[in-house]
Amino acid sequence: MPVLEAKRLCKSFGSVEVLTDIDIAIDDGEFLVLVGPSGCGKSTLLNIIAGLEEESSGDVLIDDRVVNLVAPKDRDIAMVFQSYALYPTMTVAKNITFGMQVRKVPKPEREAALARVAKLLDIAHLLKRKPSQLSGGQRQRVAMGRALVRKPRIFLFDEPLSNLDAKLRVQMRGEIKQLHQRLATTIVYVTHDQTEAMSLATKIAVMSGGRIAQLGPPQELYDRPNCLFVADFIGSPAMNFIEGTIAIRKGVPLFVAQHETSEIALPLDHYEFAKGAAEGRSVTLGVRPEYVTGAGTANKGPRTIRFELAPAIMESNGFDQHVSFDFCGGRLAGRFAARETLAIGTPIDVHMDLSMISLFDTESEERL
Amino acid sequence: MTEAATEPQRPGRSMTPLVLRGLLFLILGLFVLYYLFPLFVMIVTSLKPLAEIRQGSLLGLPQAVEFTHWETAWNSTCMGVTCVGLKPYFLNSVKLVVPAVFISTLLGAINGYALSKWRFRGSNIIFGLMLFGCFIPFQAVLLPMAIALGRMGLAGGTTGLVLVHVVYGLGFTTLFFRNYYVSIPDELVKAAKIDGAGFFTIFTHIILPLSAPVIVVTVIWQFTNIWNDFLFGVSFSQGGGQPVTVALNNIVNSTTGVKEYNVDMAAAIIAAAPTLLVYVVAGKYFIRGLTAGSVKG
Ligand SMILES: Nc1ncnc2c1ncn2[C@@H]1O[C@H](COP(=O)(O)OP(=O)(O)O)[C@@H](O)[C@H]1O
Ligand SMILES: [Mg+2]
Repeated sequence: MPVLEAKRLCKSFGSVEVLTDIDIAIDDGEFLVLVGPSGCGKSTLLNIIAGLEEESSGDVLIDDRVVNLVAPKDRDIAMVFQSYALYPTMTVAKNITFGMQVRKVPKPEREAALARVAKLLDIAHLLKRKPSQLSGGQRQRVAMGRALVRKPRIFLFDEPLSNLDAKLRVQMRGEIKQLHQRLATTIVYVTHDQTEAMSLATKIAVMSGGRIAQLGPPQELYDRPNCLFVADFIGSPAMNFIEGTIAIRKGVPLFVAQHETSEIALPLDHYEFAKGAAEGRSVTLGVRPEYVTGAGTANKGPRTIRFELAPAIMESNGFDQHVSFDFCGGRLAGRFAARETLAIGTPIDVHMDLSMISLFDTESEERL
Repeated sequence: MTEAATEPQRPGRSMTPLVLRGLLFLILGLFVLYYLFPLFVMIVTSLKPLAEIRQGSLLGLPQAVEFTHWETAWNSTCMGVTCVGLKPYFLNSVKLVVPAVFISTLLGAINGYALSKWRFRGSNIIFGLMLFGCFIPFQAVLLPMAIALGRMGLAGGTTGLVLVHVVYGLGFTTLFFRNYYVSIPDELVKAAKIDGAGFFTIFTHIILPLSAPVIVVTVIWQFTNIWNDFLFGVSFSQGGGQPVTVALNNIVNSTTGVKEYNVDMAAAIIAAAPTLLVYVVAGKYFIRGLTAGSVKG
């Protein structure tokens, strides 16, 4: 039985439709991340789940009960906002216990809960301060504390880490993950950062233009993106896209593209077409940079094809080198071992592993 | 460009801003004198005996300083046949201003809060209409107001006058609060809603504690307007219930025989004192409040 469900949810502001037919279901203990570019409607969706915004049509269900008309306070949720939204005139302790005070929880119980959260988040020494006297990271913790102090059915996070610097963001990300594992709560988490989504989620919903482009476990989205948008959005460095057509020769489907003066034909006999291979169709082949490697990289599958290409751009991060080549009228990025000696313009062997490629219809951008 | 900047400054060049600055202060000084002059004349005159006023120049400092005119103005000067001074009317004004300012400010705060944080269908139209209310001249509402007060049985009393000032001031106070509250992040209210707080709990626990600057502005604005009001006072109050501005007018206009300029001046200063005091005490908060922006978390 799903804890949270959205059924054919739509939302318009005036004549502008910002959410279209959103369908989501998550089970107890799941960590759902809504990810997508800025303005795609993530916050709006989260606000509708919280009851802070009214849906135009469709239903929100919590524990199989339609809650469209239930006030936010009665939905058994807690929320962390991007701006933290700490009450500026209250101390940290008051900020955290305000909700319980409003709900007339007896004082001893409030204090016990406060102590528990202060210990959990390591903010006991901050309790007497006002929000303006806290650093960004501390405010973030307090905002988390305000949500954690109650034990709601569902936690909602709206880009809680986007105001932190890079290092703190990674640290807090780890702590949120740990909290989720320890408390085993259900979480809906909004972010525009795909790395954050990949590392936190048990399930990701990629949103684009008010629709859910794909919903599934992180690995599935990574390996089998169902459209060009998802393929491009998930993964860093981004997936390579090569334009070409499908040909069938001797009963074997091939991906055919033009590289400089010669034709390149990649065998697709292993590829699981959703609706069969249609000859002559314009397609976009997607291959992730980690499947484009050099001679020194060991794990080459049986479906590896070799090209001779000259590096155009090289960037090293110490662990590996990101190398770009001019290929089939576009750019092809690969990941090479850090110790491989490469030079711009000097041709080298490039191995492309085709076992994990994706194919998309160039026109509809859907996965084939 | 860089050449010119490193060049040693020639005297003619550096003098120009100095001269301009001097001119600026001269003009400002003239304005200060222009505004202070009447106050100076009032204070000086209020301290002079009548005889001296008639002989001497307007500007001369008093030869014999006498505070008795102030006492006369406060306690015993006459308007017509009643000789009770300004005191009871001053108290009338206090009894009028305090509730009128309090109620109009409180209602303005609630309106502003509702119109900015609990938007509903048509809330912008309501706000627009209230704004429109700010621009209706006093004279235009006199007659309808008189009829309304009469129907409600509030004509001629302090309660009626309080009501008039509250209604007339509501447009302004709502405008002040609404514009201030717009700068408070909506997420604060959302967080409080999730915490379980309702309309008034959020207002009293979250919004009001953030409102000090705008409250100061509104209170000063309302206090000054209501205290200084003459037209509503003269139209909707009678006899012993009149505010100090109306009484002042009666005193100045009804002195028979010798015109007691010194007493009149003292009375005028007494009548104006509260608003002056409010500006002196809270003026800097007024400026600050007018420019106060968003709330930092
Ligand atoms: N109250 C509102 N009125 C009108 N348009 C809105 C409102 N809130 C959000 N929008 C619009 O809805 C779209 C989605 O917004 P939002 O959910 O905040 O995006 P995200 O959180 O994904 O960045 C945006 O184009 C935004 O301009
Ligand atoms: Mg957002």
